[in-house]
Amino acid sequence: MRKQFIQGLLTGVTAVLVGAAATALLVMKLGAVPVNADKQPPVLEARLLGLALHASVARHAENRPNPLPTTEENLVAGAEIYAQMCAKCHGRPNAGPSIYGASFYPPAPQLATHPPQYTEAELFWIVKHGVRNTAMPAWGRQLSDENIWQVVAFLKRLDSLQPAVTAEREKRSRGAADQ
Amino acid sequence: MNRIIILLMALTAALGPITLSAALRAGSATEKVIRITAKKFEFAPGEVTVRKGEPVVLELTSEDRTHGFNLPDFGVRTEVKPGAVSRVHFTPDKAGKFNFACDVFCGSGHEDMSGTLVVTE
Repeated sequence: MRKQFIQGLLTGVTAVLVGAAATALLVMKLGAVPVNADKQPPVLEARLLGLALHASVARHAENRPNPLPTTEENLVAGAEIYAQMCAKCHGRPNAGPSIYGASFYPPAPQLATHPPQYTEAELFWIVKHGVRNTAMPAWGRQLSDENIWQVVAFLKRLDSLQPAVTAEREKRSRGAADQ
Repeated sequence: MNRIIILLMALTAALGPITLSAALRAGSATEKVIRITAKKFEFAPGEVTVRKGEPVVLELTSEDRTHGFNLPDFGVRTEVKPGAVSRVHFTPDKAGKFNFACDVFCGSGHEDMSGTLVVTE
């Protein structure tokens, strides 16, 4: 009796899973899944993806401090790299959000106006490895670890940068905007 | 008997380095040497062709500032500094087209500083 119940339960669960997978495949094949990027992600989707992203980054990032000293040289280097490689999507300091970055699905976080809450190690991991199914590339192919740590140091100190770094950063931002 | 063993050990010690040196020379002789120059914001040549299984040594120099050379598909990575030659040795074990890029930020245009390694069968 009990054996029959377990067999029936397993058969039922398997049928439901196969049915759900077949339905999902059919919905996709019929073109019913929206793929346009000019809408804001629904709240539930954004929360679920955010949850998965934060958990995955926390799991994979090594828990270690920034190995570079927080010198003006490193912060200026980070500011320059940010201006050239990141600002187009993530926004320039004192220049408002990036319309270009806002056009992605999901929209690129506007780091210049909303500094990231991740730790430096987590930011390093995100920049180096990128994020799937977003427009965030794996910069580890084009930036050395030292370069990435410089950007991370800059991002984590956007609110408290020394005057010289701020002046240099703004000068570079103006230069980039003029191009 | 002991004398023979001692004699053999001495002979091995004496000939070992010579044999090893000869083997290393022979090994490096079969490597294909490719010279690549880096400068803002390009590699020259921008496309390099090698054969699968053929040992390769890349000799990299920079004409202006420090650049990086990153060929992740083969785990090859080095810094390229002006006034010095950076050598990397590897043997391509798969055919196809693979991108290499500068990974030391070198200014506006850095993101376009890349090239292609073509590995033929």
